[in-house]
Amino acid sequence: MIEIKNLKKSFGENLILKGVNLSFSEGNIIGFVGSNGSGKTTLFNCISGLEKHEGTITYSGGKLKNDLGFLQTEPYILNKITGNEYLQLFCNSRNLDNTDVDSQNVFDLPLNKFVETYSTGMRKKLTLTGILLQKNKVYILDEPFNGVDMNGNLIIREIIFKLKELNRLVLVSSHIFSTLTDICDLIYHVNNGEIIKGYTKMNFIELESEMSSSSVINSVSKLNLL
Amino acid sequence: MKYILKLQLTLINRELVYFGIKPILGYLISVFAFIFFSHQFFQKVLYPEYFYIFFSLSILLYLNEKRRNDFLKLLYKNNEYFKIRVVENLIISLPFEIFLLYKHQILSVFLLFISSILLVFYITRNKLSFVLPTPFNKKPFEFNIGFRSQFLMIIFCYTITFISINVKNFNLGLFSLFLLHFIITIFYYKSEEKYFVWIFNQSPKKFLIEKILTSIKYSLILSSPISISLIIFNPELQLFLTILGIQFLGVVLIIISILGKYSNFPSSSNPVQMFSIIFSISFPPILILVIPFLYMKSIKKLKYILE
Repeated sequence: MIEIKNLKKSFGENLILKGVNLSFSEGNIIGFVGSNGSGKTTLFNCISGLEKHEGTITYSGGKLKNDLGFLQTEPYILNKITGNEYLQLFCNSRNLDNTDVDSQNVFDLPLNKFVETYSTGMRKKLTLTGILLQKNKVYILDEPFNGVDMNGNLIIREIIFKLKELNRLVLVSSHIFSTLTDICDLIYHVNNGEIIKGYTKMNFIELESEMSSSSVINSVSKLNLL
Repeated sequence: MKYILKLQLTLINRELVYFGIKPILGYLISVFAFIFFSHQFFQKVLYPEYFYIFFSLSILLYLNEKRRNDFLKLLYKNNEYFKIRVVENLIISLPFEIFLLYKHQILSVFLLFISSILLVFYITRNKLSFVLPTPFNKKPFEFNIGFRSQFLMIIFCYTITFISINVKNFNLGLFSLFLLHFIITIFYYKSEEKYFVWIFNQSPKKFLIEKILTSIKYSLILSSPISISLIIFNPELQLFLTILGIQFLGVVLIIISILGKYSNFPSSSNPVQMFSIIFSISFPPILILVIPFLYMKSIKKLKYILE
């Protein structure tokens, strides 16, 4: 469905992605883990086409961005616009003019209020609703669980499972390891702009121990806390 | 305190560099523009000193935004925070005070000085709970945001029209129509985040044409109360033709504003757009060159995001 070959991205002299090769097929939930700054968000931005890059990304369905819903880590919000109007914008962008936005308000958001008054979690829920209303075939969810309440997180999990059932492809990153292992078919470990390894469900324990073996104690000792 | 003030100066310098001009040149232009417009203002407005004080205080209000002040309060001790805020307000109001002094408005200088210090205690909240309904819900977002942000100015335009009909000064009414169209072009001044263009599955050409058609439709809706009431109360052919002319000019201004914005997209500061509008107003025949140039440039910029 999507094939990434030798994907490289640099900002000035700083090489962020160092030749990523990946392929994904529909009906899968693919997870990405890695420390802050490891390159996950840059990888997602490149796949979406928001960032120029070297290497190729091919999609069997035609133009990827027209089938792609992208939930960014910190969704950008327009001021003086209501939740309802924000969702309408997402529908308009796919020529869906007659979508009943209110009836699909899965997170019970106050859609008649200004989006700028929403909390971080509410903004995330709103943008997620927006990209779901677009009826995309591929979804990139960059830390969808961050800042979202427990009930919201459960709903997001169910949505992701439903998308898999509908044969959609979901690429998801999270720092909550247990959530990722619950929902993903495959998890890639990203470190320093490279895909270290892909882990299937059977090897998730191996991935967890590999990640926790990084010297946490040594890092804390650097602080010199007294 | 010194550090935060220095940091703000650095931010202004960066903004100027981003805008495409050297900071020193930016400051020089600002000084000359300030002197020029202040002179014009004092020549053309009745009781200019009061409006001048009001204008400078409204600029200071931008520094009173709650989140900004919360951040400063968290960072600094209470007395340090107040010192910073007072110094900020005094620095910004200083040019206005100097000009007032030059105009021998001693009482106004004193009034502005005291008000700018007192304003430190007023914090504005930008999270409004009241949602002003708009007739533009079907195609968000520029008109929804613009209508709500410029609501008072739009009411001001309608009021001028009402006055113009009352006193039978239809030139004033035509001015209000032009002013309204100018306000509408501001709706398109600021570039949106790249993401809000990226989500569209349209070709750059279709995207631009839809934006332009929506803006024309909505600007006609917004300006119709003025143009219709002027025509009803003075059904003369000449006035009708002038209204048509202003509506046409308004549409052209919006098109330039939209094309100008996307010709430099996704940059948020856009000198091309600003200069195109100024040149087009002062010398309309140049539009034959400006519009196709901006259109081609916009298509090129949008291609990178939409294709």
